[in-house]
Amino acid sequence: MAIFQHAYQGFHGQISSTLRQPWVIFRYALADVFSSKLFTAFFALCFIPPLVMMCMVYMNYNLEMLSLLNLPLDKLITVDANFFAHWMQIPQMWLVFALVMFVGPALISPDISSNALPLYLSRPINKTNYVFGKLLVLLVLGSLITWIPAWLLILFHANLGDQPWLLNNLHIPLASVVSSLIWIICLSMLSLAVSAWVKWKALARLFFFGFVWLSSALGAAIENIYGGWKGSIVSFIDSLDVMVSSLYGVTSSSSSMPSTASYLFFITVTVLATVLLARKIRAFEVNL
Amino acid sequence: MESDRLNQAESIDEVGSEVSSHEKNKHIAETNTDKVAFTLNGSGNTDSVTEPAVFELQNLSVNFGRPILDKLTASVRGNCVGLLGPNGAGKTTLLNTLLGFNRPSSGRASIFGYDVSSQSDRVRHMVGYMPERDAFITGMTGIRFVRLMGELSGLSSSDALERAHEVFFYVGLGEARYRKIDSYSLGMKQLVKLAQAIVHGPKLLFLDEPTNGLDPPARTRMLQLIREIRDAGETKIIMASHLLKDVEECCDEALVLKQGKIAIYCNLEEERRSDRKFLLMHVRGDRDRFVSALRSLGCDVALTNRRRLKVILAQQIEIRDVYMAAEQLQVQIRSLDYKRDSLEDIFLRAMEDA
Repeated sequence: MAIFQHAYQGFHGQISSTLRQPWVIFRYALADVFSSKLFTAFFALCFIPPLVMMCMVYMNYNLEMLSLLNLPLDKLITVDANFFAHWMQIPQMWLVFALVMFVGPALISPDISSNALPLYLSRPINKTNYVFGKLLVLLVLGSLITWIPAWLLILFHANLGDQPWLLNNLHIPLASVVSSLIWIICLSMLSLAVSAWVKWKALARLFFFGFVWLSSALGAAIENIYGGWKGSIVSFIDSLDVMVSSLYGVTSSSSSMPSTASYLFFITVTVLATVLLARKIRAFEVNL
Repeated sequence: MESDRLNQAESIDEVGSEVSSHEKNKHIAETNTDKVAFTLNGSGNTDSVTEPAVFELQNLSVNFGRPILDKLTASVRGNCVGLLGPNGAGKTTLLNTLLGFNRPSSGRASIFGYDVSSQSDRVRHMVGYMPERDAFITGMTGIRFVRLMGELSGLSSSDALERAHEVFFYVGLGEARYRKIDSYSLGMKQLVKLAQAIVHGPKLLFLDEPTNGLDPPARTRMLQLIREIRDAGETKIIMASHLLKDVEECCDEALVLKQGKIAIYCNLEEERRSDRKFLLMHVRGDRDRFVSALRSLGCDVALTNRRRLKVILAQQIEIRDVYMAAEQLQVQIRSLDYKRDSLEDIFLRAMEDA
């Protein structure tokens, strides 16, 4: 059916497998995300902290430069698990929060508000593939600003320093991947669920922001009133700090909550968000 | 299923059994009959057909707190089947169930022999769907939207792009394909919905109220496209509409639902064919001899009252032959009308019967 032949013809070409469908959704969603200049600028800025960290690591091993800059040796930061956890990982995690807040609600809410789900779901694609395709966008972008630069930094440090350092600290790259993925998946599912229910992306961003910060404020209030670490159970800030610290094997600076509680917190939020999302990702609402 | 087949004659009016040959192609279900099966192909032939049914329902029930579809059983083989019924009859629910959006509470539905629940992947490779409501992805250009839909249907990226251009030109929106869909008029949006539904060349096309909100020229254009797709012979069409005229213009069969049950399933092609030779006459003179003469010509004649006759002409008989018979017998034909048994009549009768 060439464009000059105004007669209908079916398609007789090759049909690909259904495994490709999440990739198609991912590709189109990613292109939409980068069509925003504001987001592209923000995403570029997310690489500045790792570059600064890289410079700091480099300076640690470059005595000539330190003497040129007249920097005192005792003021240098020690590059260890604490450095990677609190100077690299946690700040990047909050950049992920900003990224998810910007991108997440724009992934699903327009499809729901413009009634596009019947078009997706009438094709050889199921709910899981649809959500996975959208989630993949956040997973890839989040990974690009968290554990991937962390790994590069770790390799850079290992290359400059003593060779056994990496072998002695293999838990650091592992902690980087695990903590990043837990955080990215939890926030992503939360933002997708909120956007599926709220439908209007500006409002969904506000809800997502409020959900994360108000829960942390609530946690702080509970701690102030009752003392102990029980308030941290509902706090994203404390749970993140405890989870990252436990994985890196360093002491948490914000809460004495057991690490198991922080993992439970993230699992609970992810499961609840998935359940809420599953209820909303359907071709039609049934109103009785 | 054969044992369940009902071949019930429907009386056109009070004529009764004398016009029974006219009704042979009509299959009627009463709404209080739960197990009624229909098998009909596009030409009205009830012989067993080797190719699988376009869709088949076996005691299909769907419940959303209350029964929406109630033990539907049917086997549909037409090229273009109209799905009719009053609001709340279950048209959209049936469509959604065939698309796999709703899970049957009991029974099963299949498309081309594939179960819509357990083999939904296969089914979805074969179907195209044009929903009733506006359904787009905001911010996308028309061509990008249709290309995405093509890729999601399994076409490669390059094939999807090529087909997207082709279908845009086919539906007549070639010049507007790089505009954002948000800026399209209602008629253009309907055409884009059709374009995305046919981009992958489906074997079965579901059209839900395709002419909704269209002005007369746009409606004519849409119906013409549907007829062209039907006549191309590569795609079967299921068209849900509340506009009987649309169904009559495009479909060769009609399935009428009422309160979640099948009220009637008829072959419109046969109806059209029979309508053409259905005459209502007012005569004066020797009526009995005239009736005998018409019967000797092979016509079915029904006496509705002292002067009125209903005549179903035999295949080879023309109206001219009727006039000649009247002239020979000195019978006056005071009036002669074609009685058109339109889809509207069929629909209304189904609603009353049911």
